[in-house]
Amino acid sequence: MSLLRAWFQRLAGLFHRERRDRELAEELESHLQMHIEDNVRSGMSPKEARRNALIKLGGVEQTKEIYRDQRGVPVLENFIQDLRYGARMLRKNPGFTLVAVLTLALGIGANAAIFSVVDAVLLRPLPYRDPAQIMTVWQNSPRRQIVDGRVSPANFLDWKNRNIVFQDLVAMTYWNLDYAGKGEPELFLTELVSKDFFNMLGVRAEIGRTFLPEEYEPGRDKVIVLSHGLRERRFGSDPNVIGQKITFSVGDFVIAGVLPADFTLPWIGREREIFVPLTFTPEEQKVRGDDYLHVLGRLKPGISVEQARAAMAPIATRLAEEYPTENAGAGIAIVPAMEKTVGKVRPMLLALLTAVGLVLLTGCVNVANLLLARGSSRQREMAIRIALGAGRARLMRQLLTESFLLTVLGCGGGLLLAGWSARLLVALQPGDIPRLKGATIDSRVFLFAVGISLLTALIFGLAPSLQASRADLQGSLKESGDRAGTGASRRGLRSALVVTEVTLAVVLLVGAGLLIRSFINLINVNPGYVSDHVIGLQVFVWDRYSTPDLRRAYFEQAIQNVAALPGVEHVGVVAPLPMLLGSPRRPIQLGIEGRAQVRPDQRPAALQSVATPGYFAAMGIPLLRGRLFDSSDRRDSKPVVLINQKMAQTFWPGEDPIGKEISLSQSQGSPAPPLKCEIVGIVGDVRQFGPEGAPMSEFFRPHAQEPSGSMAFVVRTGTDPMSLLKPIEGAIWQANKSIPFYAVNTMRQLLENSWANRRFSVVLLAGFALVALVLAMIGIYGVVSYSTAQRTREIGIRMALGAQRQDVMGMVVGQGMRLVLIGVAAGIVGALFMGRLLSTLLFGVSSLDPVTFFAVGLVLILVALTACYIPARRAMRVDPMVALRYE
Amino acid sequence: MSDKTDVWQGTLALMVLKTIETMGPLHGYGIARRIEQTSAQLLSVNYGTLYPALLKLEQEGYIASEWGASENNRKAKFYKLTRAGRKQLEKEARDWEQATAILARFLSPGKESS
Repeated sequence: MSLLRAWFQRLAGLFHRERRDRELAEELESHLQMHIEDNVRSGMSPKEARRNALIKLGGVEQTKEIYRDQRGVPVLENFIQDLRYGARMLRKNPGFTLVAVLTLALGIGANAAIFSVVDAVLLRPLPYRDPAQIMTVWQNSPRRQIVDGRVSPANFLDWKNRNIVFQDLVAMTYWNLDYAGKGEPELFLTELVSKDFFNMLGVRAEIGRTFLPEEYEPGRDKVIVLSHGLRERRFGSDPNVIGQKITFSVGDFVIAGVLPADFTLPWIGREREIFVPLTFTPEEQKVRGDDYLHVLGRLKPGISVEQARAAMAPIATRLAEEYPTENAGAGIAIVPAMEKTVGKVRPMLLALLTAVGLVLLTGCVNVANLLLARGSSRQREMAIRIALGAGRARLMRQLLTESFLLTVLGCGGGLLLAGWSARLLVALQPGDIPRLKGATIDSRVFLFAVGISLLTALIFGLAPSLQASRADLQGSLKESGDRAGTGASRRGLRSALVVTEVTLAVVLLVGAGLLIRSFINLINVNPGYVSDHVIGLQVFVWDRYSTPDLRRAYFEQAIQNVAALPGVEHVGVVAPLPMLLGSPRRPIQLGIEGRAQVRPDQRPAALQSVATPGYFAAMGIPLLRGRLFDSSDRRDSKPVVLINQKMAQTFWPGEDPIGKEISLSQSQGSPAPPLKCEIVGIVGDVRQFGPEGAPMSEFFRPHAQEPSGSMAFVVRTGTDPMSLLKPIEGAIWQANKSIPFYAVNTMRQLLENSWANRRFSVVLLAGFALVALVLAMIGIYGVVSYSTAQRTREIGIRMALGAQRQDVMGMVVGQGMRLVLIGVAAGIVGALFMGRLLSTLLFGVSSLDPVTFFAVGLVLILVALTACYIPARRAMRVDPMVALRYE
Repeated sequence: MSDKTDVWQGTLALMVLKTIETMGPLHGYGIARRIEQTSAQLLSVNYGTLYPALLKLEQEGYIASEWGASENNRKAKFYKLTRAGRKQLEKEARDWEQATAILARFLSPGKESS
């Protein structure tokens, strides 16, 4: 107890020091006076009395010193003293301080910002109960190159009933609910979810409830659950949303509940706003040929993903044997939901985190270099301190305190920068990085920043303080101030730091270079259509027009209206629009006329699209042979198809496919005979999934013969298509005012969105590499000019003895370039690893791309030559006479 | 060096507490003088040992200080014993007596054989 009290008192002793010092002085003085008086009383002369008392009592100053140590906490007081001294030193060298703090703030800030993204995207668990147990389950088909295919209801129910590794399996599927109540038409992104969906995830409603078991029965399923966002958007703060009816084109639904704000299914793309029970009628339960379900499962406790995969494989095999028509060649793929969410962006984010870490390291090296340079001029100060009795540990502590002070400033600045650059990152429009909007500068990021700051202080502070405390006492005191610290080991350390900087810069530049080349390759890819001046408007009319004839009529009318607009060159409809994210697209199986029947799992397959004749002209897709659709292709005429070049080459190599027939099985599971379609033309390839993927085999059916309800209007205009958006929308609404558009994009935007991810990483990595290059340049310049200044006398002597200016220049530049070349060599080795890290992000370029490596080496050498040239020219101009008189 | 000081400080603390208990509130000079007298001038107390010891006792809460006037009307800081200090004095005195008694038995071998 008294110990605690004593420490408390001692901590309190850190304050009011002046008053306490004064009191002690008074107390000692009165003690002395009393002693003198007593001495006088015992017969001494006043002078003698005083002398006697002073000798007896000992040194006043030493007493005060011991007293102070007892009063306060010496370690803490030393630290505070060091801090004050450090702050004074930093104030005295504003230039040095500014450069060092800015470097650190940039490094720490960039790291904190990137970490905030990594944390939000990669590290945060999904918002479910035991999220690690949640798996996405897919039907794969290696031969058809499908890894994450959807599954039919009958297969899903068999998976659910036959497996022993999942606590629960649930299915969901995509839908649109078409608002038909008062006000603007709107299409809501909706997900149908099967029984126990919310229970399995462990998600409870924020208001109201999720679905009751009986609401998963056909006929009782007219209930919906809203997302938190939709509730806010449509109902504001209205507390009575529960129980309200909403009218959609398919009927009225009652709101049962609202989901919590953090609920998300981040791997399925755009956030869903409405959830509806998914039910299976007895007929639907038997459907095996129509793969439209996305399956989620919760593993039983203790079951690993591998065990689950091993347990599901035999089920897939059995199903393939029992139902070869639909299931031959199909397997079951299990992917953790988290992996499905972040698997694609993880390499990119980790590469960025590595890169930004390297930038911070470069920054540290640069600050260490600055500190070393400053350490040289403080060599004498240190030597004097040691001579006066300061311990080396004490000196190291002081220097580390100064580094610590720099870091605190850097960390503070870094956090400010991070808050600002987090917004910048979002402004860079990184495309479809899931969960990015959760990236904020919160306590985790703060702790991370503080952590790396401490590490940083240690890295850049240790070398200089080791150096300084190893100071050669005699040498330093003998040398005069300016020439102090030319020792070889000091120069060696600084050279090593420069080599490190060059190495890091090369690694980052190669990484950035590889990504830039990938990006250039990507934007030069021909997507197969002319993206400028084309706009696509997606509509969804299944619920408004329930018969094929109505749909045909609607689209014909709407196309006519748009075509009549001034400024519109071509218009057509297509399904699906290339590159529009959303519903998954799978090759479907087909038969080829005149070929032998093959096993079901080895049948040819191609993507199916539906289009009107105007689509090809609107999109700028060339007709290569034959004819496009025309008015003769009617509902009751001979079914026809157009195929793309890839399909022609794949299935009819060396033959003319025109006039040949393909057969398509009618809507899944129906007993109707396959539909025979005649190939009437070949069109150019389109990269259906964006420029990174190769074109796949594809065939088009005329909308007149396959009147789909979810189509995209594709309009080519003479000018900027966005300026014609209102008239186009108006023209389409003339055919039916209440039909909403749920995706309006120019093809240019879609193309750019598909690059966004890459553009984001390219811009960032290039920025990081540039910073590293500048830091390396500063480092080289600093070392070369410093050592040149140190050698002014030597250069003067050389010149006096007849050395030519070029010789001097060569000497200085050569000295600097030797370091650079070592750094470049080491950097190239490091870049080989960086290239491997980036390999999944590269497009059309090898991770060992010689052009990039060569270019980076060249750039670095040129930059380094410039950095060496400036001090070398100064050295060249040295006047021997001045140099010899120097000092 | 520091070890010796600690031992000395330990015993000094006891002497200071005992002195204040006997004499009542007293200033630093008085305490020093009294200790020297009691030890028959065998001990010499200087600033450097006395004042840190007083400060430590005050921090531990065994003594309290107050400015006042000395016999000669000189301004001086007076130290007095607190309740905790009285308890501590009893405890330390007991410990010390016990320790010296034990040591005494070691140092007088005659009694051991009996």
